This record gives sequence, C-alpha cells and structure tokens, in this order.
Amino acid sequence: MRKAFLGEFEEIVLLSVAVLDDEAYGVSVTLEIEKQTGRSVGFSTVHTTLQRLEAKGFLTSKMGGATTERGGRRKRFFRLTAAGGRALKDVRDIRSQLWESLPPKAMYLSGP
Amino acid sequence: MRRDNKHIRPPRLANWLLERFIPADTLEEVQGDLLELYQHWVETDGLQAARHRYTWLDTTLYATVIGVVNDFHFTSFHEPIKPFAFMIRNNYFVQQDFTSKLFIKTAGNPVVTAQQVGEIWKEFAPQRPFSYTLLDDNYKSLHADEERFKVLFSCLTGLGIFIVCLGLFSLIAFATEQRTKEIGIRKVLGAPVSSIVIMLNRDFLKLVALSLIVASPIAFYFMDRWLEGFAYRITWQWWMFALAGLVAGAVVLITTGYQSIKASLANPVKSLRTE
Repeated sequence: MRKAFLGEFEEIVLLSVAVLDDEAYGVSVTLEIEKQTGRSVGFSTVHTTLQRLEAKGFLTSKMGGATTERGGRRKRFFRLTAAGGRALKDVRDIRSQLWESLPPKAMYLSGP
Repeated sequence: MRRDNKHIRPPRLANWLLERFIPADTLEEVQGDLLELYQHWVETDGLQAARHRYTWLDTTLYATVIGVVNDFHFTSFHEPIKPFAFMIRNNYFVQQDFTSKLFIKTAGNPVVTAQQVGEIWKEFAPQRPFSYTLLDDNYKSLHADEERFKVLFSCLTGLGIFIVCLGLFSLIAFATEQRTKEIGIRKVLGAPVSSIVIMLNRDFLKLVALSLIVASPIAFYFMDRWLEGFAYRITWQWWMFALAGLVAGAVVLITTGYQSIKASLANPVKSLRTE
C-alpha cells in the first residue's frame, strides 16, 4: 500500500523533476509539464507544488551558483529523494496492476 | 535568454504584489524563475501574451495561510457571505500603497482614540491625509435603507391606528347612544354589566376577525416578497398573524372599553325616564 498520498498534479511534477534530472528548477519544470501535457500551468502552481513535495520528503533542493541572467538571482534546483522515487513507483505499480486485471472485453480501452 | 530581451521588464503591478506575498526565504529563486519564464514567453508568444500570462497565471496569489476564521457578515444581509481574506502587509506607509488601512480595536471612546491615532499618524506620515471611519457606522450604513423603511412604516402604521381609533371611538359612542334605552331595559330585566359590555363589543370584534382574514394574505404576500431580498432571513410563522390579530383586538377593546363600560354601568332609571 502507498504510505503517502500523491495527487495527480503532484505525480506529474514529481515525474518531471525526475525526467529533468540535474536541470530541474522552477522554470524547466513548468516548461516540461506544458510540453508534455499540453496544458497551461501557472508557475505559482508548480512552485507551490514543488515546495509541498519537498515538505513531504519526496524532493530535496539546494540553491545553485550565482547567475548572470535573471538579474543575478540564483536558482533552486530540485532532486528526487528515495522516498519520492518509491512513491512514483508505487503509483505506477498500482496502475499497471489495474491495467493487467482489465477483463478482455474492456480491452477497447487500450486502443481501437 | 538572449541579450535583446534583457531590457523588457515584467508588469510592475504584478511584481509589486508578488514582493509582498512571497515568503522572504523563497523570494530570490521565485523572482529569478519568473523573470526567466517571462522572457521565455515574450520570445515565444509575444509581449502581450507574456504580460497577460505573467499577471494572471504565473504570479497568481502567493500567500501563506496562518489562520482560518468562521464565516461572518461583512456586507449587508441582502448578500450571501462571499470569500474573504485578511492580508497582513508590512509597509502601510508606502506612498503608492493604494488600499492600505489600519484596523484598530478600541475600548474607550472611539472618537477620542481616532484623534490620538491621527496625531501619531501626522508624526509618521505627514504627507498622507488621515481619515477614518467607525466600523459600526459602516455596518449601520449597510442597512440604512431598512432603517428608513422601519421609521417610515412605524409612522404610517401609527397614524393609521390613530385614525382607526378615532373612528372606533365615535362608532361606539354612536352605538351606545342609540341603544341607551335597550341597555336600560336589559339592566332592569336583570342583565349583568359584563353581558352588556360583551354585547356592545361583539360586533367590533367580528369586524376585527374579518379584517384579519382580508389583510393576512396581502400582508403575507408583501412580507414574503420583501424577505426574498435578503440572503439571510427569517421564515414567517403563523403566530405572527395571530399576534397581529390579538393586538388589533386589544386596540379595539381599549378604545371602546371606556364608552361601553360607562354605558353599561349607567343607572337605567336615567335612560328610561327621559321619554
């Protein structure tokens, strides 16, 4: 069973951080989600979700070095923790388990 | 980001609000990210779209919830309770802070306190005029219409009752005058005072009952319509109409009482001898 609940949007944010690996910070995560899902997400939504995921222990973060762009302001980079990875895997396991238990006559769900 | 976009600044108002709501420990990263994102959108979607997005999507309210209160009325009872947020901001005395207000809870005389506050205000922000309103007055003004309505209707109702009493008084005077002989005969034949009083008043009470039957549906209709204008309202109860009937009956009895009791106490010898 899953220990921590992961919302749909949280799952997407968490996955995007994992996908972006070392390059995950506010802007890149926002743009990645827009690119992958095609839906318009506000930066404030993404950033607060990142903070919430960090508070839940699924992410860690550290400040990057000084930049010359963006008015010299530093970036906060996010990384997946072991707990975050487990949570993602749990979600995927439950999903694939459910998909596998689909009865044959419901198989139209997976394609024409 | 490319150099040629560096001079483009995000909308100032959104930025200004942002600075007041983002927790200090994340201000640097958020501002940096937002600037970078804004410049990205300017490049891909154009200035107009980027500004719109920045204001309405990317910077929409950053705030930390520190407490929740029960719903309470801050507008008139005509309106349902709407969402409401208290915001704590640090710099009340900034020139362009166009919405700032200080809310002060006072124990003593609020006017005196307001004057004292005004003096301190002059010390700290002499360039800004000091003005205040009492929250009690604000609340009162929300229902000023109802207050006026109440006064108007009380006066009209009072006038109406007065006119009715005048009419009743002359009616009962007329009735007792007409029936002086009847009352005399009844008394001679042994009718008690109470039965004569009841006889004189019975017709008036019948009229009260009839008027109640006519007036109640009309009153109910208009009362219902008026109450519908309120989001928060009482519902009508049958006892309201019963009470109105009882009060009307009492008013009638008080008006006619003197005359009818005087007539029934009169010595029958006097009324019968004058023929």
